[in-house]
Amino acid sequence: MKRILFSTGVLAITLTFFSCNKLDQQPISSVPASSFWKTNQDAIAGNAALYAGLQNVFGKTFTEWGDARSDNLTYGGTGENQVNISLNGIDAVTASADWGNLYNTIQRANLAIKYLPNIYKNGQLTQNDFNNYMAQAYTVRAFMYFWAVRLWGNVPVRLTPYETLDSSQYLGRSNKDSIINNVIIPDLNSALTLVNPNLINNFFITQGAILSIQAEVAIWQKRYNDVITITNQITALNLYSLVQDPTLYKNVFSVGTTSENIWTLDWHYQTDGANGLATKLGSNGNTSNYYIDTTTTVNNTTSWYRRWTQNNSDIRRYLCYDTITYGYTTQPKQIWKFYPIDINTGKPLNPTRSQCEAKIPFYRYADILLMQAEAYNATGDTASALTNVRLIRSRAKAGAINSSFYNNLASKNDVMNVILDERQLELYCEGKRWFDLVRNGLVINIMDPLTKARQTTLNLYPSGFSDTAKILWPISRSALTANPSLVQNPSYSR
Amino acid sequence: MKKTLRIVISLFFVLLLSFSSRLQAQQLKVSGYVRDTTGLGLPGIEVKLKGVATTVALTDEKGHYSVSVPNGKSILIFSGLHMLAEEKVGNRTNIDVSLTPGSSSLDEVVVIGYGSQKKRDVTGAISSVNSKQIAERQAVDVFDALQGQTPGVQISQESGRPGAESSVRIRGTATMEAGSDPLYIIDGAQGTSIDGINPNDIESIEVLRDAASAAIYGARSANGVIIITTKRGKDGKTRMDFRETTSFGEISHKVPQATAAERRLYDLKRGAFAVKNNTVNLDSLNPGVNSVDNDYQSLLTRIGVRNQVDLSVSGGSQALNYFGSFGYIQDKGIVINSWSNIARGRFNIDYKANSKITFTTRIQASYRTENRISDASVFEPALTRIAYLPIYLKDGSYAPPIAGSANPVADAMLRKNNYDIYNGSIYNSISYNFNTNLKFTVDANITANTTHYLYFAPYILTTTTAHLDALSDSMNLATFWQLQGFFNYNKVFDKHTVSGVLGISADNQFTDNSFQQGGGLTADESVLTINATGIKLPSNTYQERIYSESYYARLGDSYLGKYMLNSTFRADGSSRFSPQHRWGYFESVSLGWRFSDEKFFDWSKKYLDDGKFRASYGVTGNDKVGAYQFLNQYTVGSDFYSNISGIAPSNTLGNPNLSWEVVKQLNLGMDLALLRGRLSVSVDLYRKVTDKLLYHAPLDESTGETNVEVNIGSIQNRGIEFLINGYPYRNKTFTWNISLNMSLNDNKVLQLYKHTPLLTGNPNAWKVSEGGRLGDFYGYKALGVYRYDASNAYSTDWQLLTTVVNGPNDTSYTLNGQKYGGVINKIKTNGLTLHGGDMIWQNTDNVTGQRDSLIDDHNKQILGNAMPKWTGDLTNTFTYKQFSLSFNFYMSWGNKLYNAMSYTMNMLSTTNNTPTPDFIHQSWWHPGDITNYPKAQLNSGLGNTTNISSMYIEDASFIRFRNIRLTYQLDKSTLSRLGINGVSVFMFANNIALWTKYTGYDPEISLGNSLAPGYDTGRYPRKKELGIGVNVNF
Repeated sequence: MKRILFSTGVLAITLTFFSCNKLDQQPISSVPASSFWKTNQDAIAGNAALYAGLQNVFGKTFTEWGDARSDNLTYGGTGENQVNISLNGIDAVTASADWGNLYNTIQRANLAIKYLPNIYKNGQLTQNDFNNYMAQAYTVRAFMYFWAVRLWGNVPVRLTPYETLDSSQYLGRSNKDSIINNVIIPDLNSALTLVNPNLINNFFITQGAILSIQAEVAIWQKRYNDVITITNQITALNLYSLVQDPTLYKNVFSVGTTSENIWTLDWHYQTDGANGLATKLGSNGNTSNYYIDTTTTVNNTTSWYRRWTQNNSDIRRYLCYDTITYGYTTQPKQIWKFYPIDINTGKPLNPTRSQCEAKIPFYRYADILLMQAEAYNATGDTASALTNVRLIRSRAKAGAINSSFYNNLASKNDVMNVILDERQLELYCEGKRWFDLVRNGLVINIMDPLTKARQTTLNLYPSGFSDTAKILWPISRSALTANPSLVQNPSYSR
Repeated sequence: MKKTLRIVISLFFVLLLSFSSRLQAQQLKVSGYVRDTTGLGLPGIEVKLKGVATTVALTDEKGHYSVSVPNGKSILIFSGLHMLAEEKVGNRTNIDVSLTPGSSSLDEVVVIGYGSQKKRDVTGAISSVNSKQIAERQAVDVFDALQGQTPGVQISQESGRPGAESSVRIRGTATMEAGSDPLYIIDGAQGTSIDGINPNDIESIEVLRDAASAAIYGARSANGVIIITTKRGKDGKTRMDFRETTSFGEISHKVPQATAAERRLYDLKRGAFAVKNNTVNLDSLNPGVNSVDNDYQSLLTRIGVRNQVDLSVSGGSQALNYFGSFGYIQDKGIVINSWSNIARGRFNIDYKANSKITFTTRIQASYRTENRISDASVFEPALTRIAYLPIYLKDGSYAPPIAGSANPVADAMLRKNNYDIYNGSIYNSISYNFNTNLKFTVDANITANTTHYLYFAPYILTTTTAHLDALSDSMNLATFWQLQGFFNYNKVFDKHTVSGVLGISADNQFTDNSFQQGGGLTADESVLTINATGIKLPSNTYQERIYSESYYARLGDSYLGKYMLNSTFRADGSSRFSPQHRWGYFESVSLGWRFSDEKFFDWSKKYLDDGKFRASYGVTGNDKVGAYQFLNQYTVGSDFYSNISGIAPSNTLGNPNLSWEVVKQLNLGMDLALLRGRLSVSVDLYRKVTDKLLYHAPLDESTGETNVEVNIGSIQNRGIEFLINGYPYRNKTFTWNISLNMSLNDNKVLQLYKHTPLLTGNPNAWKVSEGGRLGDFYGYKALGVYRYDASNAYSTDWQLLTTVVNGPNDTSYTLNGQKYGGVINKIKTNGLTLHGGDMIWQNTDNVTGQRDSLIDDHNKQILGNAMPKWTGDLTNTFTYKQFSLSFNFYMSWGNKLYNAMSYTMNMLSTTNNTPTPDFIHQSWWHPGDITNYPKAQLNSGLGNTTNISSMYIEDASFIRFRNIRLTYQLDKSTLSRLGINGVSVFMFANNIALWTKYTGYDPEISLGNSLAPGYDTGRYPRKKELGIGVNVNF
C-alpha cells in the first residue's frame, strides 16, 4: 500500500510539473516581431532606428565614398586600404565596397512603411505624426538608393521588407536610371507631400532636406531647370542662410544646428559609438587614414591645394586644418574641419578616435547655392551662377574670383570650373567632390595623371585611372558570396 | 501528440508498478576471501549475483566478503579493475577466489545512459577510460585525460595558455554550424561543468561513439556522448590520498622572426620600391635603427611553473559511502603575466537508507581565476614588430606605441584580461528498489556558473595621452536545472537476460549577461571599477531561457549472453523551435552476436577467449542553435539617434521552419579477446549521414538582413576505428603493455541548399561544395614570381613562355624549347597587368571552358583540406617490480592548416609590418631573381599578398611525443608500519618532441568552426614540460 502511495505521489508530482507549457518561450531581451509596431512609442523608436541605420552606413564609409577617391585626399601612412583607395586599387574586399548597412537601412525604412499604417489605424498615431513618420521613411529609402546607384550603378531593389525566407532571396540588379525615376523620385515626391512643414529640427528630415535631395537628384540627372526651381523653393522656405561669423561657420560641422544646416546627421559617441570620421581624417594620437593631397608633381602651380593654401585670407583654410603646423610645403595630415574649437588653445582639437562625434552635414545652404550656380551656368545664365559663387567666396573672405587663372571667364566651361573649384573648397570632405567629378565626367581627366604620379612616387607600375568602368565601386565579396546571382562590376576581378 | 504520449507513459508506469514481482526466496550465506595471484587480500572487489545489476557486497581491506544468495544455483561474480571471476555457489558456504589482473577487460562494467551494462553485453561502439589510465597522464582536466585514449575522439587544445579550452570531435565533424562538441553526462546528469571536474576524481569515462548508444540522449546526442562517473567511497576503513606535483615548462619552440639586421635588409629592399622621400636612413650611425635588437619571443616568455595538490578522503560502511576531494592548481604560464589558479572540490555520498531506498548526492564546486594574454594584441604585434624599436624608454618605463607599432611586452604586462569563474553543481537522487528487478530513480541537478570578466587597457598601450583608457566589466550567470525520473528493470528469465529503462526528463537553461564599459579613469588608473570611469559607454544586458522535455525508453535482451539486442526510443521537445517543429523522435536498434560461444567456433578456444560482432543503427539529433531563432525579432538598445533609443530589426531573420539536425548512423563492430587476455582488438566501421544541416546562411545583402538559421542539406562521415591492447610480455615481475588506437575519417558533402556551393570563413578561404569535403581550402594557387617584366608572357593557348633575356631591351620567348614568335598574352589581376616581381597565379578555364587574361574568381581552386585523414595514439607501459614506465605518442596525419600568422607577417599591409626572415631574404629584388616571394612593395590592388593563396596553406601532419612518466612504488611492508598504505614517486615530461613540416607554432590548433576549420592565428604557444610528484595513501 505504502508503495502504491509513494508511486502515485511521484507520478502526480511529475505529471503536474510536465503539464505546464514551458516549451513556449519568448525572447526576454529583445522584442518579438509580433509585439512591435503597435504604439506611438514604437513609431518613435522605429523612426530613430532609421537614423541609427544612417549612422551605421556613413560612420565608416562617408569619406571613402565621397572624397577619398577624388583629388581631395591621398593615403596617409601606408595602410593597405588607404593605398588601394588612393591608387585606384579597390577590389571586392575593400571594406567600403560593402552595401550591407545601406540595405539594412532600406529594410528599416521598408518595415516602417509597411507597419506605420497599422499604428495609425489602431488610433495610436495622429494623422500629422503618421504622415510625418511616413515621410521620414520614404526619404531615407530614397536617399539610400540614391547613394547606391551613384556608387554601384545598377543595384537590387526591394520596396517591401524582407520578413520570411522565400524564393526572392536572390535578387538581381535593376537599372540605375529606372531606380531613380521609379523609386527615388516618387519616394521623394510622396515624402514632400507628407512631411510636417512646421518641423524644423535639422537632425531629422524636414521639407528642406527632401527638397535638397531632390535638387541633388536633379543635378545628377542634369535636369538643370528643375535644380533651379527646387533650389529656389529651398530659399523660399526662409529658414536657411549662410552663417557669416567664422565661429558660427565652425558650428555648422561641430554642432550642426546653425541656420545654414539643412540636414545633419546627429552624433553622440556615448550612445552611438564613435563616428569613424576621425579615423579617416584626423584624430588625436593616431595617424589618419587620409592626408590632403599636396602632390606637387602634377600641375604644380595650378593645383587646387596650392591655390587654397596660398590664399591666406580664406577662413576655410584654418578652420579646416592646422595652417601653422602645415605651411605651404608641408602636407596637412590632420583635418579638423568637423571639430569644435578647444577653449584652452583657441584651436580646434582633433578628438580621440573612440570619441569622435562629428555631425555629418548631408545638406547645407552653401551646397544648395553652388548646385544652383552649376545649374544656372548649364542653362546659360553665367551671371547668376557667379553671383552665387561670390556669395560663398565673400562669406569665406576668399577674395574675388581669380579671373586671370580662369582665362577671364570666357566660356561656360571656365565658369563651370570656377563653380567646381569653389565646391571643392567650400564642401571639402563633405562627401561631394567625387560625385562632382563623376557627374561632370572629370574623373579620368583629373584622377589619371594624379594616380600615375602617386604610383610613380611609390615606384609602382603607373597604371593610372584610365578605365571608366572603375568609376563604379566593386560589389563586395560578402555580397557576391551571399547572392550567387550577382555579377561583379566589370574590370574588378577579385 | 504530446498529451497522448504522456498518457501512454503514465499507463506504462502504472502497469510496471503492478507487475513488480514478489521474489522472496530462502537465503544462503556465503563468505570467503578474494586474493591476488601473490596471495594478498584484494580490497574493494565487487561481489555480484549473476543476473542482478546491483552490487551485493564489496570485499573489506583484507579481501574478505560475506553475502547472502537465493540458492545454490546462484552464480557469484567477483569483479575489480581488469579482473573478473565467476563462481557457481552450489552447496559451498565458503568460496575463496584468486583474481589475475588484466585477465579480462571484457567483463568490466560500462556506464551507459540511465544505467550500466557489462562490457560483454555492449552492442554499440563504446570506449572506456579508467582512473588508472588517467593517473598515468598527470591530466589537468578531462580533455587532457581523454586525448588519444580512445579511437574516434579528436581533441585539440585551443592554445598553450594556462586554462585553455579544448575542442572535442567524435567521429569527425558532422555538423556545419550547430555546436560540434559532444554531450557530457556527469554522474547521470547533464549540464554539470566539465571544467569543474578534477580528473583525479574520475572513476571512468565512457565515450558513446555510435548512434545506437547515444540515441537514448536524443536531440543532443548527434555529436556523441561522453559519460563521466566520479569516484565513490569503497566500503572499509577511511582512506586518504594525497598527491603533489610540480612541473616546469618552457616554450616548445620559437618561430623564425626577423632580427634588426634582417629588418634593415627589408628596409633596404623595400626602399627600392617605397615612397622615394620617405625611406629609412639605414646608416650604421643612425641610432634609430641600430640601438636595439629585440627577440620578442624571448622577452615574452619565461619558465612556467605549475603546482598541483590533490587530497581526497573516502570510505564507507554497509549503509554509507563517501568520497570527498579538494584540489588546487597554481599555473604560471610560459608567457609573462599569464596565470591560472584553480580550486576544485567534490563531495559524493551514497546512503542506503534501507534495503529499498538509496540516496545519492554529488556536490561539485570550483573556482578559477585567470589572467589571459590577448593573442591578438600580444603575439601578432610581437611577431610583426620591428626588432630595432625599443621596448623600454630611457627611464625604464614602457615605450608607448612607436609609429603605430604597439609594445607587446607592455601589452602582456599591463592589459588586464582577468577572469573569475565560479561553478557549483548539486545532484541528488533517490532510488527505490521495488524488488531486485525493478528500480525507480528520481533525480535533480542544479548547476550555476558565474563568470566575471574584467578588462582594462591602460592608455599607455595606445597613446601617450592620459585618460584614453578602456575598462569593461562583464558578468555572466548561467544556470541549469534538470529533473529526471526513470525505471530500470533487469531480470533473468531462464536463458534471457532482459533489461529496460523508461523515463522522463525536463531541463531548463537560463543565461544572464551584463556588460558595462567606460573610460577616462583617474590619471593613476588605480581604481578599476566602472564607478571610477569618467566616460560611461552604453551598458548591455542579455537574458535567454531554453526549456526542453523528453521521454525515453530502452529495451535490451541477451540470450545466453550469445545473442544481444538493444533498442531505444526518445522523444524530445525544445523551446528553441516553433510549435510546429518542436518535437523530435529518435530511435535506435543494435545487435550483438558472441560468435565465440557458438559450438562451431570451439576450435578457436585455444586462442580466442571471446569474440563478438556488433551492428547498430540509430538516429540522433543536434539542437545546438540559438534560443529564439524561429522568430523575427527587434533589437533594443543598440540603435540610438539624437538621444532617442531606437528599435531596429535584428540582423538575423527568424525561420519558423527551423528544426533539428538529424544524424543517421550505421555502425559495424567487432571485439576480440585473444590469448588468455593478452590481446584485445576492437574494430568499428561507421557511416553517419547528417541531414537537415543547421547553417547560419548568409542572406542576400539586399534583404537588409545578415543571415538566417536554416536546415540546408546533408554531409556524410565514414570511418574506421581500431583499438588494440596487448601484453607482449607478462610475468610476475615484469609487464609490458601496448595500446594502439587509430581512427580514419572521411568527410563528404552530399547535398547543399539549392545545390549552391558556399564560400565560408573570413577571409573567404573555404569552399563547401557538393561532393567536396568540409574544410576544403579554396583560393589562388601560387606558381612563383615573374622574373622580368617581360616574363608575363603566354602563348595563345595560355602556356607560360620561357623568357630569354639577351640584353636590356632584347627579349625573346621560347615554348617547349622552340622559339616562339606568336601573339603574346599577358595576365592581369583587377584590370592591372602583372610585371616582374609580381606573383604568378595558376590560370584555369573559366565557366565557358576558355582561358582568359584575368585572374579572377574562376581561377580559384581547392588547395587542400583541414581535416586529418587519420589520427592515432600509441601508449607503452612497462612495469617491473615497483617501477613503472609509460610513454605515449600522438599522431595526426593528412591535413593542412592556414598559417594566418605567416600571412599576417607577409601581407605587407603597412610598412610597420615586418615579414618573416624567409620573405626578407628571398623576396624579389632585381629583375631576373628566381623566388617564390613577390617584391617587398605595397600591395595597391595587385593582390600579390592576397589572403586566399596557396602560399599560406601548409602541411600540418605531425607526430607528437606527448608524454613519458616513470613511477616508483615504495615498498609496502615498510610503509605499513608507519600507517601508510602506499607511496609512489614519479617523474614525467610532456610534449617532449614534435615532428612536423608545419612552420607555425604548433599544428595542433582548436578544431574551431566547421565551416572555417584549420585557421591558425598567432596563439599562446605550447610548452615543453618536466615535472615530479609524489602520491601518498593513508
